[in-house]
Amino acid sequence: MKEAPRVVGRGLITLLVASFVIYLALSLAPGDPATALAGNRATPEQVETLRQQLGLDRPVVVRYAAWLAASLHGDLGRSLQFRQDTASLIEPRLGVTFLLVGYAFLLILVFGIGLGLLPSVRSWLSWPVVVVTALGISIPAFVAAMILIQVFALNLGWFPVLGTSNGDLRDQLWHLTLPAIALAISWVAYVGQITRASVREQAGKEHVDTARGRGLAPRAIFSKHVLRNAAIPIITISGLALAALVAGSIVVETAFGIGGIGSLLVTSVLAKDYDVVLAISMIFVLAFVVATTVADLALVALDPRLRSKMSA
Amino acid sequence: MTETLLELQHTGLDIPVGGRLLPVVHDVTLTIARGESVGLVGESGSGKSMTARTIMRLTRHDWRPRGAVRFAGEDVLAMGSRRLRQLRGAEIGMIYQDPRAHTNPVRTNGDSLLEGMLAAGVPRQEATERALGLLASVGIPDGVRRMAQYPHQLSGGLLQRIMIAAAMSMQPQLLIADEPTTALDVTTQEEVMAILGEQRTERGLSLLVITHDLDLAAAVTDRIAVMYAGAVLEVAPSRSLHREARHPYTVALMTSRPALGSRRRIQTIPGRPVSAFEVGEGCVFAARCPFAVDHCRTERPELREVDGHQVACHRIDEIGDEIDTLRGEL
Repeated sequence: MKEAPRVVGRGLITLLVASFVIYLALSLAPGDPATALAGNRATPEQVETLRQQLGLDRPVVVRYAAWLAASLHGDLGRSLQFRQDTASLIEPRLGVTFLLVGYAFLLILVFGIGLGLLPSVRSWLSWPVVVVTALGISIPAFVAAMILIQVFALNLGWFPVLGTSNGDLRDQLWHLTLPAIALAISWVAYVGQITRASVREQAGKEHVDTARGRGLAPRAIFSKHVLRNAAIPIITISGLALAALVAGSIVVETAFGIGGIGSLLVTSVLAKDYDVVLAISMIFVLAFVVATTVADLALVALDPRLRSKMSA
Repeated sequence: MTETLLELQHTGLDIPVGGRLLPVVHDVTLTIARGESVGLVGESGSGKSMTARTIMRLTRHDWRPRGAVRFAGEDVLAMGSRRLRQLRGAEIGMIYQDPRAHTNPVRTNGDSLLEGMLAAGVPRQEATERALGLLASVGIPDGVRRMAQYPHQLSGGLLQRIMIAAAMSMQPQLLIADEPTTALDVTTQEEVMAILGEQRTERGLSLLVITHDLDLAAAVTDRIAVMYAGAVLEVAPSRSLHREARHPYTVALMTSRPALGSRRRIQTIPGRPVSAFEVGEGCVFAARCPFAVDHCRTERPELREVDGHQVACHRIDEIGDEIDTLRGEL
């Protein structure tokens, strides 16, 4: 695919720009690590000395460049809160978050697209799907989390209330089921709506009549001419969904007491744990860029018009 | 006359709009013989394309066709879905006004060309060979390259040729061409019509050419049916329609046409064109017809034979002289 380098390059540029913006934003936030580190009883002179030691007196662009160079070598700084290397702090928590996000994304693909396709199978399901998805979109993840915990964990006892498991994958997934549902629910509804609308629009296209006029069977028309074309907006939305899930994990991990990077971000922000906040924010940006880049590549593979436009 | 291939008898089509069934085609009575080329002409919205869709049953599930459509003696309106799929493509082919809108943009031209044959069970190898031969016959020598390309990489004229090749690939007995050249530029129009003419003579194909272009219809058809507001008002030999039009609407249409070299002011038909669902019980042209009497507004006239034309007009015998006078201005 000729366009792959271009799409990936665009992703890398986004990543670079976003990282600088985040670095800048954090440096502008009130309170700096030196004050936090020095404690309440430190004199202004002591704080100033500490600032110089930490290099905080240098211009932000210089600090950013130094941070970028170190990050690229795997040095993400130290956590002030945990007195630990940031990389080794984040690494074990990354797996849980990725598992949660992957689980939620799978739910979105299966149930979102499934829901959107229901009206094509049974036309009387069209209105129920519209109503259900409209309701689903309006449920925020934290509300969903509380309802799910109350009903399925406390009342019915089918799932654990809080925490993660160190057991095998099955046990981990069992612990992550309610969080994944809470995280996925509004996106399932949204992807469902997009799928329904997209399939409906494509089914009314004139070229579908051409296919009917050539004697194709309804099933072949649906797969080759309706679904194939409808997949294009569905993939765009799915890419955005994947990116948004990573950010959404902050709320859901906190609500369910899951020790992933989302909940770590919250505690780090509260503790003004500069390097950790920066590192996790970058992971989120990276996840966002990777998700949208993969979606872009899939779109190019699926839509020939995109290909020649880019090579033109 | 040779064997009748397609026969429409009082064919109509009703479409539900806001809970009510509205007619978009009132009454089309028309036959096409094997190897014959018939033009269906009329203004925009006169129901030409809807008639074509009814012939192929390319209708939505809640549309209601009326009357009779018989293809090679078989009732198309009574066909089950399996029989209908055999009819479409393999017995009646269709090409459309806008080849770009009527081609799936994300599939290759090869996919479009082959899909009908593959669906009918032709092996891929054979289908590909047949497609390449057809592409050559419609003036596309580099078929292998074109088949690998996508629709947006081709001009409208090339795309329409591919549509023709795709329609011919199933060896239909009747080809319906729904405004096949309207979306193309003038030089391409002629080429496409010439290709249709060649295919017709080579394969003994019957053609139904739908157009609003009277000259185009006269050039490529044996007979022309003139449609207005969902009904066929006159059917005449293409050669004589221009000079010997009978129906008041057809005559008015002929006198409304600009002529090269004439400085005469272009005439118009009084009133505005009406849609099929706006006309009442009577003759669809009654509201604008200078000869209309009460009878014309209450009862719809049937097509009947008048001097080699078929004309749907109650007063055709009485108004002959006036019609001659009107036509004299041509």
